[in-house]
Amino acid sequence: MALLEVKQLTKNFGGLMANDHIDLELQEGEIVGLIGPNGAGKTTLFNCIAGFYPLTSGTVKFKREDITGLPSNTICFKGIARTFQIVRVFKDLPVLDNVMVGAFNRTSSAGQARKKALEVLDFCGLTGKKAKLAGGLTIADKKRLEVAKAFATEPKLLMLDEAMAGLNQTETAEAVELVKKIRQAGTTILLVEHVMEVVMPISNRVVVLEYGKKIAEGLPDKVIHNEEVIKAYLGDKYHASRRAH
Amino acid sequence: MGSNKKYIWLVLGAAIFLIYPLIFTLPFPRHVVIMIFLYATLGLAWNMIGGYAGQISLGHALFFGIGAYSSTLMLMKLGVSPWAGMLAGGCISVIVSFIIGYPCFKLAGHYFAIATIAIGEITQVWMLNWDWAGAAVGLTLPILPESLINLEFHSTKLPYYYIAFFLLILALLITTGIDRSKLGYYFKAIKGDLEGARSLGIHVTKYKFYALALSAFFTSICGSFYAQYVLFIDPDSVFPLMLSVVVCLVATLGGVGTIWGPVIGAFILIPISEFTRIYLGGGGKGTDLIIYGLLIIVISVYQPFGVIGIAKRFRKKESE
Repeated sequence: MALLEVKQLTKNFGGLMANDHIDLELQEGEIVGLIGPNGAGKTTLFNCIAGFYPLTSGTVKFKREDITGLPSNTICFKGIARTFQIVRVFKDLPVLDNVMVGAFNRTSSAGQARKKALEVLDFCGLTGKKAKLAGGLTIADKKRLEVAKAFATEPKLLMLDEAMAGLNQTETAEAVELVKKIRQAGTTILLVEHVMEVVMPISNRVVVLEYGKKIAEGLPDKVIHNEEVIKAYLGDKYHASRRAH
Repeated sequence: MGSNKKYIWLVLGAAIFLIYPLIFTLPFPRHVVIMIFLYATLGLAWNMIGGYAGQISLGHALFFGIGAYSSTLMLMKLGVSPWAGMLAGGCISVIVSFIIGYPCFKLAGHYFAIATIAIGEITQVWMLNWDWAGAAVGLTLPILPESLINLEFHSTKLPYYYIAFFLLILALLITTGIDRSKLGYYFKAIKGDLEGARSLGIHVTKYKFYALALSAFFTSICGSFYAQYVLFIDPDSVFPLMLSVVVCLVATLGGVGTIWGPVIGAFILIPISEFTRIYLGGGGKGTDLIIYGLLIIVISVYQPFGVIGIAKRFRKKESE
């Protein structure tokens, strides 16, 4: 059974077609990478699924239930959590409180939320920084906190929007480990990422967007060799001179 | 600070203020502290929506006025006890807060504040022209025999003092409850980042309504109390924009989004206004407003987190 089914999703901004009839399916337990050049419509697709933008047309189904057009807080309650490319941590609150806000999605008791938040902080390796104000964290820790907040809402599907952009190699490697751990904990993951080295090794499947259209889908190493994908990333000029891996 | 030590301070503070009116028996020192209690309670009420949830309202005089007029009109026209009028006024304020919130919560930041100013001003003009409710002449409350049920005391301010103290403690308890519960965390998240809050499953508008309703209810109760204390109300005394600004300032000066901030703010601001009024009289009218203006500038430039922010900074330096 598909966990998430997106059918013919279309989103127009005025005359610009940011998403053009996109079909997407996610099976439970998968990590799916969503890639594409700048402006391909990846974040728009994210926002449409998570209820931040109304769709122009198309449907989104989650666990067979139609969630098209529901507000984002309801979608979060149903089990889809997301992170933001530009982190949206609550900068005047301590790290622990940030995660507790997420944990309150499943409980009304402050005690339980605190317990859950402490577990999540431990899981994400942020325990040592729990008393710090979120605004004072490094960018790597902020991105980690962004994931922790979303994970604390106990999602079935976690959508990560460039959770590793702007990190150095060590930090990226740590972030990849975290994503793998979250998968092992039973959460399905949809990953938007620019860094190919990150997406390819951890994704079960990759979906490629360009100019709002889905141009390829499949196993990572198959997709890399797809003619259209290479064209989209490198342009026509370099297309002929590419070296086979 | 250990929690035991904290409780000792709390008990000590409460004891001092319980004994205070027995030592200072003249009306003026009692009056000053009653005003401090009243404004601290108003500041705490404002703090729920303005401090915790970050929706700056500059129209809270509206709820204060509704409270004052509801209990007074019910007493004068229907002969209902001011206590019942107080509760009824609170409920009317909650209903009004829903009506205001519905369009205004779509506005963000300064636009919300501007809308609340407009609503406050419109209501004041309306009340100035509403003959049935006394219009610009105002309402003089009937003098009833002194009793707790009538909420009128003529020979001494002592009962008013303890009632105001009780209201303050009630507001403090409720603020503490909010601060430690889901409600408080959600309010702070909404203040921190609206979209971020929404993405974590928070029904942002619903929680803004909760914050405004709670705030309106308490502000309204203070209004009813004020009417019973002064025994005369008119639109200029219970609906003025200046009242909204002072209430906001009390919370901001002490520290927004904290439990003790508004209390500290009231202890600093209200004596300034009372003493300038007494010592400078009519010629010094507006002196307190000049001082308020200066304080607004100083707070917003140097310490947006108020006195509590300064205290925290010092404590941090000491521990380093």
